[in-house]
Amino acid sequence: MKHDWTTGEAYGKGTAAVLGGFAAFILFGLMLGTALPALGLPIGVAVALSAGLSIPVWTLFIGWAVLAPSGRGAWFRVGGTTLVLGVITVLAYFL
Amino acid sequence: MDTTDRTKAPPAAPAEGDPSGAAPPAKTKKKLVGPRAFKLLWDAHSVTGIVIGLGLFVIFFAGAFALYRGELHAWADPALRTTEVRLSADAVTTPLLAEHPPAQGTDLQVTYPIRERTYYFVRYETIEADSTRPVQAYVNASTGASFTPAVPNHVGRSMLSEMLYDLHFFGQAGMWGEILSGLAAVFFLFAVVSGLLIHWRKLPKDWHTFRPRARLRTALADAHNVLGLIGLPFTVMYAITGAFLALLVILLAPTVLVVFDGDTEALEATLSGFEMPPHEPTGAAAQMLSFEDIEEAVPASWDGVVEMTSIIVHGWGDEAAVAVVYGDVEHSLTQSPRAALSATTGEVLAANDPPTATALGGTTAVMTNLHYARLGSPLAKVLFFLLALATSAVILTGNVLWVLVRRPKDPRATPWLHRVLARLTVGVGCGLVAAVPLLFLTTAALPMDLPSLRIWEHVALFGGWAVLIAAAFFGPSPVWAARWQLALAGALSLIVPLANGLGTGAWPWVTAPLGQWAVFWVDVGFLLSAPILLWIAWRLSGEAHTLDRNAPPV
Repeated sequence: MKHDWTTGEAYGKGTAAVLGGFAAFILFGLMLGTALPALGLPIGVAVALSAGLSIPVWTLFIGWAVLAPSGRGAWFRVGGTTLVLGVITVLAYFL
Repeated sequence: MDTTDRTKAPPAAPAEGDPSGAAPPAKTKKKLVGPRAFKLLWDAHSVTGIVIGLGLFVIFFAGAFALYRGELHAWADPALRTTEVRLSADAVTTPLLAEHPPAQGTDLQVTYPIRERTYYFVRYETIEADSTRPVQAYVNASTGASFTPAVPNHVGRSMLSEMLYDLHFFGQAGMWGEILSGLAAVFFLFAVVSGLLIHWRKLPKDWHTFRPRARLRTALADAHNVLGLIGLPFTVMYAITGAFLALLVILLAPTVLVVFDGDTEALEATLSGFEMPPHEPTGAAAQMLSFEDIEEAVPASWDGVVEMTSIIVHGWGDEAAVAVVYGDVEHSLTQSPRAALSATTGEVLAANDPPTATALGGTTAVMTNLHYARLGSPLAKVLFFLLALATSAVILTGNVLWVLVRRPKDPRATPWLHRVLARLTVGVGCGLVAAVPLLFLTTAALPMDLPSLRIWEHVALFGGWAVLIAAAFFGPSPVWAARWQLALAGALSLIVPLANGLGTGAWPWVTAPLGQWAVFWVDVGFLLSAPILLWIAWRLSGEAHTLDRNAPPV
C-alpha cells in the first residue's frame, strides 16, 4: 500500500463508497425524476437522464469518498450530499 | 489493476514491484492527479481489483459465450439446427393448435426466428384437462420438428447456453446474484477510471510495449497493460451498460413509486411510447386472423424496415382479442417498433409509428443493444467476443501480478492471504476455462432426450469447476495447478468438435456447406483455442521456477 491507511479510514471510506454511494445513486435518480419535471422537462426525459447518469454518478461518489481526508470525512461528503438530494426530492415532490 | 509501484523506489534503482525491473525515467512527467490523490487512488484501484477481480473474470468469460447464446442453442441441440428454408408462422402453429387446442381467452405468443435464432417459440394455455402447465414448444424453422423445453421458458432440451448466460450475471443466485453483478460493474467502472488516472503519464509507453519473449513476469505485466489499454473503451462501455441493466430495476423501483404513483403500466408507456389498447375479453368467440394476415396488417411504414420478432395475441379466440406485434430494426440502436391490431379485423389500434424511441426507451435500447452487441455486422460481435476474452485475461494477469510484486524474499513469509489469492485465482480462472469445454463435451456426449441431461450439465460445469478449484488448493503449487488445468482445457477443447462430429455427424466440412454457421464456428472456435491454451500451459512449465519459489523442480 502506498498510503498509510488506518483501520477507521479504510472502513469509513469503504462503507461510504458502497452504502453511501448506493443511497446517493438511488436519491440522485429520484431527484432527477421528480425535480426535472417540476422544472418543465418531460417526465420520460427526466427518467431517462436519471437512468443514464446515476451509475457514473455513483462511481464519482466512490472516488470522492476515497479522496476524502478521513473515513468520517468520506461519510460527511457522501452522506451530506445524499441528504441534500433527498431534501430536493421531497421539495420537488410536495411543492 | 496496478502491477507496478514507482514512488517508493529511489530514482536510480529499479522500482520496487516493477515487474519489468526497469528503472524509472530520470524526469517524471506531469501526473494527472496530485501525490496524495495518486496514492489513495492507487490503493483503491488495487483493492477494488482484488476484491471484485475473480467475480469480474467470471462475468466477462461467461459473457463472451453469452454473446453467442442463440448460436450455442443450435450447437447444443441438433433439433434446433436449420438450413435457410424457413416455415411460416401459420405452418408452425396450425398443427400445434390442432394437437393441443388453446383455451379461450389465453395469451398466445409466437416468437419468430430472426438472425441467430433458428426456431419459433410458441406458448399458450391449453384446454387439455391433464395439462399442468402452458404449452411451450420450440419448432425448428426449417424442418418443423418441435419439442418442449427441459425447463419452462428455457430454450431447447440442453441447458448449456442458458447456464453460461445465467453465469454471466450470477443468475444462478437469482435476483441477489444479478444485484451483485451490478455492484461489481459499478466498482469495475471505478477501477477502470482510477487506473486511467494513475497510469495516465505512461499510457503512450504502455500502448506499444509488449515483450512476449521476456521473462514471464514481464510478459504478463505487458499483456495486462496492453490488453487493458486496447480494451479500455470496451470495458468502460461494458461497466456502464452492465451496471445499468443489472441495477435498472432497483433504480426505477423508487421512481415508479414516487413519480408514477406505483403504476408500472405508466412507466411502460413512457418507456416504449406505446399504450396498450383495452383488451378485456367479452366471452364471445370469434375467428382469429391468420398470422400471415396479422403480418400484412402492420403499419405501412414498417415495410422493408422492421423485422418482426414476435406476436402476442391477448385473448385468443375472443372477439376483443388484440395482437401486439413486436419488431426490430436492424443496425438501429434505439428503435423498438410495436403495434397493436385487432386480431379479428386487422385494424391498427395503436402503434409507436414512426417507430422512433422515447427518451427513456432510447436510453434503455442503446444500453441493451450495446451490451448484447446488436450493432454493426457479425464482425462487431466477434470483436466484442475477443475483447471480452482479453478483458478476462487482463483481470487474471492483474491478480497474478498483484501477488508476484508483493512476494517477499523469503517465501515462508508470504502472507496467507496472498497464498489463498494465488490459488483461488488459478482455481477460479483456469478451472472455469477447463470446465466450459467439459460442459460442451457432456452435452455432446449425452442423448438430448435423457431426462437427467440438465443435471449432468450442471455437474459438469459447476462440479468440474469445484473440483478444479479444490485441486488448485491442494496441489503442490499454484503454477503447477495452472499448468495442468490449462493443458486440460486445451485437450478438452480439441475433443469438443470431435465429440460433436461423432455424435451428430456435424463435422465442420458438413455444417459449412449447409450454412449451419453457428455449429461450424463453435467447433472451429474450440479448435482454434486449443493450441493457444496448450501453448500457455507449455510456456508456464518452462518458467514455473521463476514464478513460484515454492514450486517443485520442473
